[in-house]
Amino acid sequence: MNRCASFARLRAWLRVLLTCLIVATHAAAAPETPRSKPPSTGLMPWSADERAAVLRHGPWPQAPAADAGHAGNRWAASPAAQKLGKALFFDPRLSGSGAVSCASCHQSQRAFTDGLRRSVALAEVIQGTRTGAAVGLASDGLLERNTPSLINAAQQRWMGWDGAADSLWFQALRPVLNPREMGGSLAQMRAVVLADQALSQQFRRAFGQPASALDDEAAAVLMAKAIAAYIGTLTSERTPFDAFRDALARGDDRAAARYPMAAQRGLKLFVGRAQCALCHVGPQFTHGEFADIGLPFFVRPGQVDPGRQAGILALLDSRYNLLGPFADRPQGAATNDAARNKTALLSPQHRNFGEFKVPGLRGVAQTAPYMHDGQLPDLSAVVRHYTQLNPERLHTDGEQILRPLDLTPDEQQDLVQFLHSLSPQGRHDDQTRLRDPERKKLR
Amino acid sequence: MAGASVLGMLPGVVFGVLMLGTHAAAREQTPVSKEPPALHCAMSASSVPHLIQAAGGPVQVFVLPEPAPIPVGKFFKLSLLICERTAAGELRGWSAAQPRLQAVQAEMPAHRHGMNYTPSWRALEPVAAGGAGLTTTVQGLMFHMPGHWRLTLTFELPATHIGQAPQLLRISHDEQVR
Repeated sequence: MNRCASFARLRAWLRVLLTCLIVATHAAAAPETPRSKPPSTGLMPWSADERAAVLRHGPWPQAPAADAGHAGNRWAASPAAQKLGKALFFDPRLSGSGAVSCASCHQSQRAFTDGLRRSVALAEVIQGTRTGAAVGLASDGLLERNTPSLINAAQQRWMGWDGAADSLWFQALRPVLNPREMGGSLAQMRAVVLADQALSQQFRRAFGQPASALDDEAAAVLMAKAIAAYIGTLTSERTPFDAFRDALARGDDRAAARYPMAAQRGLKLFVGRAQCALCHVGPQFTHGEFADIGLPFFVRPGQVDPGRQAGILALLDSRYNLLGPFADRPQGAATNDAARNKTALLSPQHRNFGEFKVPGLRGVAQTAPYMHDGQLPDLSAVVRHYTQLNPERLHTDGEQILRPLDLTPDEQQDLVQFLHSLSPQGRHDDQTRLRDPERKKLR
Repeated sequence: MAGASVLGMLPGVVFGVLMLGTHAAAREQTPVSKEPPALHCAMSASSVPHLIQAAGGPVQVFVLPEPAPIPVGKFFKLSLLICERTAAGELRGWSAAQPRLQAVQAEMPAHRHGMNYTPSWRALEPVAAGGAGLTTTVQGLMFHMPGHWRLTLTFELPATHIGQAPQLLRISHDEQVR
């Protein structure tokens, strides 16, 4: 009797289980849009190789690698240092004229760029007390390069378009001291903290000693490490691409099908025929190294921007690099080795001339204009560049796989749609332009 | 009674199986960094995952990357074991006239470029007690792009006869990096 009852319960359970499976199968197979309309959603066929290629671009977010921006900065995770760094980031007193702060070019409302083709930095030029020519600016009063975004900067191995800094704290120091950017000095940096009671307290709280107990250089480096700690908090949010990528990873095709078809087509090109993912690979969509992509790099007639070549020389020449006396040496040989190796083992090569850093693409739609000198106004122009690439412009020692992609207009549009999907939902503003009238007149 | 017990557990088992499936689907392969296994001349390449085996002239090389598989855009190192290959194909440790590791290079043939970093290593030294062959660790390699890389190790083989000059021996291995 008991056995009969048990079998009856077993049959009932199996029936329930079978029903669940049938319902689930139906639900998975059911189209999300009526068949009469062309599908704007759905899942394209993705081969195993394609899926593997997509999966390489995540998961997101990720912690910075040991050899990335926080290398040599033991204060990077300190909330007190981050708080001080934020205050310093927005403080124009660090500049020679007292008029320019880090935030003047790295504006939070523009994804920490300035929206300009090339940077306007120098306080004296803005104020009209010096001419751009006097400090080596181009004839239009601008610096040679586009202001890069600071979002995810802590994830990067090299800083700046030429990688002239091997850590975020070194990079934070460079524009402050550069006479063409903020025009400040080590002494002035320390003086700003000494003269401000609130900053002095924050400094002591962050580093356990007052700035007055340190010399100018030591105090300024710690201030730069605080700024870097703050910049390290600027990370990008998850995006529609991440939802798609993670759905593929867990085999959830139904969730993956919510990713727009145009973005899927663009992604297929990105990891496939267009070969974008050879350089824009990994969770940040960059291998973190440098490339010559056939763009003109003349700064002015007769003068070129040497890019990575000059960046390496400047890096190795600086006492603020990771081999220098100010880089913190963390416990643990592996971490230490990875951080120092990248600088110690750098191999300058002829092909570095005219190379620039391959930028990460997360949030790329928010950081127009594009390329090292901002010469391409929007993402369509970027895709068009690769479509119509002129091989004659490529350095003879440069990347040999670059060829014109010859994408159709529809394919170009798909690629742009995919790039938009690398921004958090609803932030696709690659047409943002400067509104500040003071800067406008300098453009 | 036993049947009732099993049936009573069924909902839990079904739930457990479903949960297990969900977890398995969500779980992703992540590189695991473990202590590399000890290399020795008598080993079979298939006995160690990701072990690279290459040969040229009298030299047999076992190369173990760490982490493995070799990641894109991240530094990795190579543990090397160099064994002597006799004319009969037997592998053994070096006795006298040992080779010297002169260069470690890698390039992407299709791209015609190499690495952006110059690897470093210490001179080959005999494997610790009880082993055979010569060993070293090469640091600071990075394959910064996915695709086909060619790793080339250059050895200087000492002169074995009076008047003979040392010879250079290059041993290459092709690796598809994903």
